[in-house]
Amino acid sequence: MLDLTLFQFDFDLSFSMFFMNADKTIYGRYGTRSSLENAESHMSLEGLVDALEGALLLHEGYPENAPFLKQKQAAPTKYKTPNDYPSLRGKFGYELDYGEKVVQSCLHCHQMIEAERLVYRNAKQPIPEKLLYPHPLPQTIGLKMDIDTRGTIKEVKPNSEASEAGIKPKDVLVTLDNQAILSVADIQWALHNAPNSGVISATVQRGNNYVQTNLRLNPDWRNKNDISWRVTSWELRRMGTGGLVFEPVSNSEKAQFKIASENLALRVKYVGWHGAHNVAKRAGVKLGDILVSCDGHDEHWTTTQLLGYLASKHKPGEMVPMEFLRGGQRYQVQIRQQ
Amino acid sequence: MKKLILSLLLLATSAVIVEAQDVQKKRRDAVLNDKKHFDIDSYWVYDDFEKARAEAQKTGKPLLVVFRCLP
Repeated sequence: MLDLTLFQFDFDLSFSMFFMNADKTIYGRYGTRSSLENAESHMSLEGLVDALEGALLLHEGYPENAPFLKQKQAAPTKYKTPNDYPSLRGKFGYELDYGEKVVQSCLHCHQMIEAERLVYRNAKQPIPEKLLYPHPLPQTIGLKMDIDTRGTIKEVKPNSEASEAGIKPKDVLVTLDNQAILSVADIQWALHNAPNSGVISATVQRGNNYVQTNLRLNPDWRNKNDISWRVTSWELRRMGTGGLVFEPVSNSEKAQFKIASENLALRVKYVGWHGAHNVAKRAGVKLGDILVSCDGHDEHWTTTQLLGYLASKHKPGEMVPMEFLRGGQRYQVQIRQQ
Repeated sequence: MKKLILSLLLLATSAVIVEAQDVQKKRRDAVLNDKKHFDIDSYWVYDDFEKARAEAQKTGKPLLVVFRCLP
């Protein structure tokens, strides 16, 4: 059974690596994903080789470099194994059954995120932002990385946290929040454990110089991290939208529907039809309808922002008004939160 | 007509069940074949972290731990 006091990574992934010392000290992580279709867009063999070489350097410099590894270690958790989550308790054995039932005996990693969210949901508490928007991608703070290297920055988005910190393309990100960076996954780990608002330090190598800077994380920075592709978002859809899957509506389409570009427009591309995922269907929502208002909000939202809002602002059992557009006519439904 | 609809529904349900069983079997075979492959591969330690750790302690080498979800 997975030791969660040691191995913590992005549990929506189907592939993840750890570079470690025999004493269980973690040097770094590797493995990143940001869509279902293109699973390897943040990874390359060249990048892995560079990360492995970086891990070997950290191994050579250990334990003198331990301060730069301290925050790479697993965060404190009260769930020592997946079996300790209340909703998973007793459902899986502590060992895999390498027989006919091997598939059934294997817990899916994403179930741990769902189980942890349920702890809060069932207690009628808001799901923490860190758990709603896990393992933020570098682009969340305005960085696009060169995936063939361990930390070279390819692009910096204007007006982002990274650009305001003075970080530039071709800089090499050496540390983030005082952690040695070997990969995109390491950046994600540092961001995952960063505060919901505040400042984190960064060191970049620019030519032969090392430049120290600080990144200011403003409230809501996490919700720029797209979670719509994640398997675990199915459960958030059940909880908040009653089983609806949305896709964005382009500005030109918005204009056709007389919706301002800064206003909400998300098109229903799937309507859940069984079990607890059919709440919206039973309320009358249909494929192709366009969500134009939710709980009185009609500002532009991504699917991530919609799911995050519903999961953090409403408790199970509450009714949330949502307004949709169908055939030029607006109609309103009440969606029961689960 | 009702009988025809019922028969078609049963046929569709049976097809879904057969397909699901087929997916389960493919996944089971993938996992078991994967294990078989690594059991005879002395380069990797499969599903035994403490054995890998003991080897790393003995050799002084670092560990590369890989988690994979087979399709």
